[in-house]
Amino acid sequence: MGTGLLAIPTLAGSATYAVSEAFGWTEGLGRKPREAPGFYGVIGVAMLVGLTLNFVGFDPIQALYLSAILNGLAAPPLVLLMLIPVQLRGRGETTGRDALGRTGRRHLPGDVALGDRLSRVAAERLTHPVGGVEHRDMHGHGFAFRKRREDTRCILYGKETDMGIRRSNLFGALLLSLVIVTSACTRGEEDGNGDGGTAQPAPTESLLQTITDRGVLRCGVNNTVPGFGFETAEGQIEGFDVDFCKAFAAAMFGTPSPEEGTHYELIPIDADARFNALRAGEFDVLVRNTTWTSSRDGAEGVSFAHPNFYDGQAILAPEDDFASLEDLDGANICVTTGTTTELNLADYFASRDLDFEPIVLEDYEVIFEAFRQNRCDAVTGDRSALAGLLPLWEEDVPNLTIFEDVISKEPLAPGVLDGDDEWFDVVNMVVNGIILAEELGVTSENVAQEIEGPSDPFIGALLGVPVQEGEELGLGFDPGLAVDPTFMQNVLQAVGNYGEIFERNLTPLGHERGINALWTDGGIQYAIPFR
Amino acid sequence: MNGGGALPGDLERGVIAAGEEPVVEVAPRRPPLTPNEWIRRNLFSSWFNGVLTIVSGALVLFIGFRLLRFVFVSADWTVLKANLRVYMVGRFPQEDIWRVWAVAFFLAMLVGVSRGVLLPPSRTRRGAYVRAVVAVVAVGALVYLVESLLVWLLLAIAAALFAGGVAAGRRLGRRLVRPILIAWLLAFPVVVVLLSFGDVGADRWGGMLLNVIVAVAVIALSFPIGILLGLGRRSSLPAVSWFCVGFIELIRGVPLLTLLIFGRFVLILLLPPGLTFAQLVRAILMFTLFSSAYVAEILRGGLQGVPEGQYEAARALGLSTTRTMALVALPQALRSTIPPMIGHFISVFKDTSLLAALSFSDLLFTARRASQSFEFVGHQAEALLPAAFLFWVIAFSISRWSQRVETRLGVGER
Amino acid sequence: MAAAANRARPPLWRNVRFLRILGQAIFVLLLVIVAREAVLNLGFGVERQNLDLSFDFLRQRAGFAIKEGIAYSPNESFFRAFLVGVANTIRVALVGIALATVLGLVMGVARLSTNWLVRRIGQVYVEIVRNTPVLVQIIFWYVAVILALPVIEGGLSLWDLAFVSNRGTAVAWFRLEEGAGAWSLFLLAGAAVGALVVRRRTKINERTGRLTPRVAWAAGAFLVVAGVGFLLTGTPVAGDVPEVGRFGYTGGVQVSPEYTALLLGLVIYTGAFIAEIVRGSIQAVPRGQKEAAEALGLTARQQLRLVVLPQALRIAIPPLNSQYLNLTKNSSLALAIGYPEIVSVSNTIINQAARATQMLLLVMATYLLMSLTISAVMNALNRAVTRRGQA
Repeated sequence: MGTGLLAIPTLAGSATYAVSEAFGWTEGLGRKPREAPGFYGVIGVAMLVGLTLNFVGFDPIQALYLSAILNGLAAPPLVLLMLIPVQLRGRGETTGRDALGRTGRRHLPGDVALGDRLSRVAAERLTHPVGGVEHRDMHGHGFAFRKRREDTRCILYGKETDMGIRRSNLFGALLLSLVIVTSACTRGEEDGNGDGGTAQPAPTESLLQTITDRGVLRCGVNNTVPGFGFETAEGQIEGFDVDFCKAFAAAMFGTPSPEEGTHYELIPIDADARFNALRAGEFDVLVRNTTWTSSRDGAEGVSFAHPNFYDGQAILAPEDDFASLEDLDGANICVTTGTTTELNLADYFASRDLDFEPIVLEDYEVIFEAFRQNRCDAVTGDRSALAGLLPLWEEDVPNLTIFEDVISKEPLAPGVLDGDDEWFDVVNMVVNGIILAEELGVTSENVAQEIEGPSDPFIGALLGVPVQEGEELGLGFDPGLAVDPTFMQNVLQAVGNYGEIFERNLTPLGHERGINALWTDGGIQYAIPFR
Repeated sequence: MNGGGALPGDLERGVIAAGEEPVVEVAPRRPPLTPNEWIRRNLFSSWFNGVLTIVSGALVLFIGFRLLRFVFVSADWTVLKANLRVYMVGRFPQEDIWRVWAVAFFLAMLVGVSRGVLLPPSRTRRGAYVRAVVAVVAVGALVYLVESLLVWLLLAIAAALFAGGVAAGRRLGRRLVRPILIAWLLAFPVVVVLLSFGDVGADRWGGMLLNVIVAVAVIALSFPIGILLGLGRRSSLPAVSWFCVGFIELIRGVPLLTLLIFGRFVLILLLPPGLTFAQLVRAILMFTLFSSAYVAEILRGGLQGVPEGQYEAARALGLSTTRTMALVALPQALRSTIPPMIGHFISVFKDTSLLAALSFSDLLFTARRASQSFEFVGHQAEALLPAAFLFWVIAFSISRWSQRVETRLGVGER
Repeated sequence: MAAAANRARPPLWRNVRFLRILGQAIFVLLLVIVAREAVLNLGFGVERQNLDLSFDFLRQRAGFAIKEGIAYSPNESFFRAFLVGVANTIRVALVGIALATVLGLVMGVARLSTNWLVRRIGQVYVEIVRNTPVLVQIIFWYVAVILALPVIEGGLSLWDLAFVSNRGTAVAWFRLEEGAGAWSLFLLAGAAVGALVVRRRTKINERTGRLTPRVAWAAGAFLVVAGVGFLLTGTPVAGDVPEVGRFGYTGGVQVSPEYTALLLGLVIYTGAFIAEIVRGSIQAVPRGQKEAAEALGLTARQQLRLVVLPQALRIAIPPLNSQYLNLTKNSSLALAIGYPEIVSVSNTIINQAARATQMLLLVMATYLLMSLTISAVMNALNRAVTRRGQA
């Protein structure tokens, strides 16, 4: 530190002296500021620049490094500028006209140190046009005229070169830019290798904190799939996924009846924009019948909670025309863009040596428009979505059927952005809790009763209710999540357990529990224990 | 023939001898063409023309007949009737709709006053016919489409404000030019404040409202940025001019849709983590960059049109580069670039329809959605044609008015 | 050396030269700072997603099918899929430019016709099409016209040689069989003969002063040679008549409905602008030219063809250039109707591989390249026609 404090004024002072000499100003720390304004001006500017650099985020060590580079890069041209005229010393003469228009040879004075003189000339030439005349007009504004073309000769390189205004500016600007860019690039490399954190403050606030502060939970949902997320005629969005959104809101804000607008907001989003919107923070959780795949976990940067619906991809087609999947060889099949269905269909058909032409459209509404006009022969998508759309579509295109073939696995799960474990745990555990509630037999009807007196310790743990033993009040179970341990009470009062949610949204559309039944009932819904 | 009538007394200089009177030849006035002659001259002047007339006449009649039949007979316009509100304002909450009406009144008055100041009343008979037909058609369509009496009343108020503005503009004349300019500049922030003050987020804007707001925002923002870019391109500082040239050529070489997709996917990555803009703001930002590149190019043409002598005179007077630009060159350049500038603004308005390709709920997107809902499926034409018509009406009116303003201001004549 | 008067420089802070360099340095510095911030943020954000900024992912298997374009299968790489998109864009852009120019020429001339009806039709066409957004027009053509065509079983057919339905259009075409190589030699010979005939006819025209149709003579000669060759090489051309299949057409030359809708929308839209350009450039030809031509006794059609149009087209080349660029860029709107051109395919790749930055860079670079190529061609054309002498 001490050495640094000693070194810096010396360096600053020497730089100032150099600049003042180059431009020919009065210089010297012995002079008063009024006598040497340029000199002190440079010191002041240098101080200001140094200060600003600090606030902009330049590392001072980096800056020292930069100045070393600057020095290094500036040295060769300067040495060159000194060497070349020395080479010409033999000539010792110039041609061309001087400012008064006189021609003839002029000898360079040899008594002054040539290098010194010519360095000054070099500096002057860099910043002034050769033979240029500076004038002031009556208002004191300065500007320069370029002399006639044949008068502007450059004696610097010993040959006749026309250096007009443009060129000297260009040279100076280029030199400076080159220096700065080089230093910036080297600096960038260092940052990339080492601490990426020098200029990158890590996001300090967790998403959970943001949601709590905001007071409203934002969910990305679908609005075109009946049963899961569908916009009714009044403009309300309802569905299976929407109920889960309500559940998350109930857990976050501790309310048994979350209201849209106050506690949660539903944001309809397209399939190909959903991950970007999640990354951009337009909503906090994506409950939009989204398939959990490895690439989405990895490349897309999404963390998926426990699947809330196990689905598969299927194909829908008019029954009269196609008896089985093989009949679709060579057919035009409509798919939604930005989904896993595009890839799965290609693989499935290729493995069976069948051919097809994909008609890629944005969502089911556009697909229906094309399908009903027979632009495509069949439609592919999640079986659950197709099952929900079938009754609506059959009004226009009669006798539709969904083939039994399962094209691929589609576990649908709510997704949050990577990086906030607390929020992820909350979402994950809410889903688990909902399934666990059905396993334990807790419904929205009897949850109030269970809160009063849990029928068994497992239910007590689920609801966060202490099990009373005699006169001692035991502590309620607290899994250590970032929400109140009694969050499941609110969730169940708001939306009920898994079976209730299913029955409310999907059973009316003809969905059967199938593999979404509990593991004890022949399905694969299996909750993580609350312990 | 005598000199064509007596001169007013104070102009008479004296008696001119009869033989020396100047003979004023007036071209013989043609009698107006009778319909027969007109047809013969304009439609059947040669056998080729005759054939052309018959063929194109048949085509016109055929298309016209089909179109009229479609519009009045076979089309089912309920999709439009049911969705009129969504077409115009999207999902704007009903209780806040007074804001939209306030904006509509404000704009009606502003446009009316501008029109009154800038355009003389059109006195041609043809103009009167056209306006009568347009009025009848408009009222007829509205009678069919609008059922609520309240909306009728509000529309009438808006029309009255417009007419009043026109009258006021005509009465007060050129004195209002400066206040009008200031009012237009303030229009955008006022509109935004009016619409979002309270609790209506930008995600509730939709339909035609969204198109208009985005267009106005982009125009307002890209105008200064474009001017800066254009001046930077002409700068004598090589660093600045190269950057500006590179930037302009890059933006003009890629489609607008690509820039919007860039705004959607990549822009947030370039910002510091945690800092994020709403999707609409990002779209407006990329749109503005696109538009400012074109404004810069138009301005470049304008600046090139300013005679070199102006620059030299400014130099001689000792004006610095900045002052020359601001006081001498820019005013002249801007004046001569008004026609292409207005053309560019019209295409900005048309390009706001690209928001539909990114699933923003603008007019085009809403129109497509309307025809896809299960009630109205199959009526795509009925859903799309009104949207196309709305776009067309605004673009056409602006381009017509700008043509008349140009002739009035004498732009392009030197 | 310079006299003392030259050394009376204003102080540094008013010295224009110094300020200019300082200004540029500050500007460049600011740019570098901003760019550095952006690039670092980008790297940071990309790393957070466990991605990278390299283009290696383009070699991965694509996995998705594309419904039209050059030969491609889902087992090919992402890059190959992207190339399919590029080929599709070029396909629609080139044909679109050609057709739009023709339409624009016709409509532009129509707007200046002496026939009132034709003039009005041109005016109505231009005013309506120019003021409606192009996306609206493309979607309208697709949704209201193409999709509304009859289904393939009930499709329209033209003497069983051409079929139209909402699965596309198929037109009978030729299929080359063996002997085609030899026949092509005959075609070349025919072309050479035609050129010779034109030369001879031109000389005869100049000698006798009569205007015999040179092109007709040359075409006749060409056809004679080609026909003889055709017979001699064993008729190496067979018809390729499309058949109505269950899902589509097989054989013949096919265009998909999306391609047709996109082409229709682009051609009609750009045609309106080209019509205005043609009208403006015809009106920009000095009136004296037309009057001189009339004085020489040329008919109106000859005036147009021989005197006015050549000069007008010369004037029109720069604005035509920008319209061609616009058409190429507007082809990106095919995203809305599912035609797999560059932007549409890139969108799919972004959805599957999540590397938006690299794909967007690639897309923008490709469009820049196409724009530069078109501009270069038009500039060369401009130079070629202006070198022959000013109007």
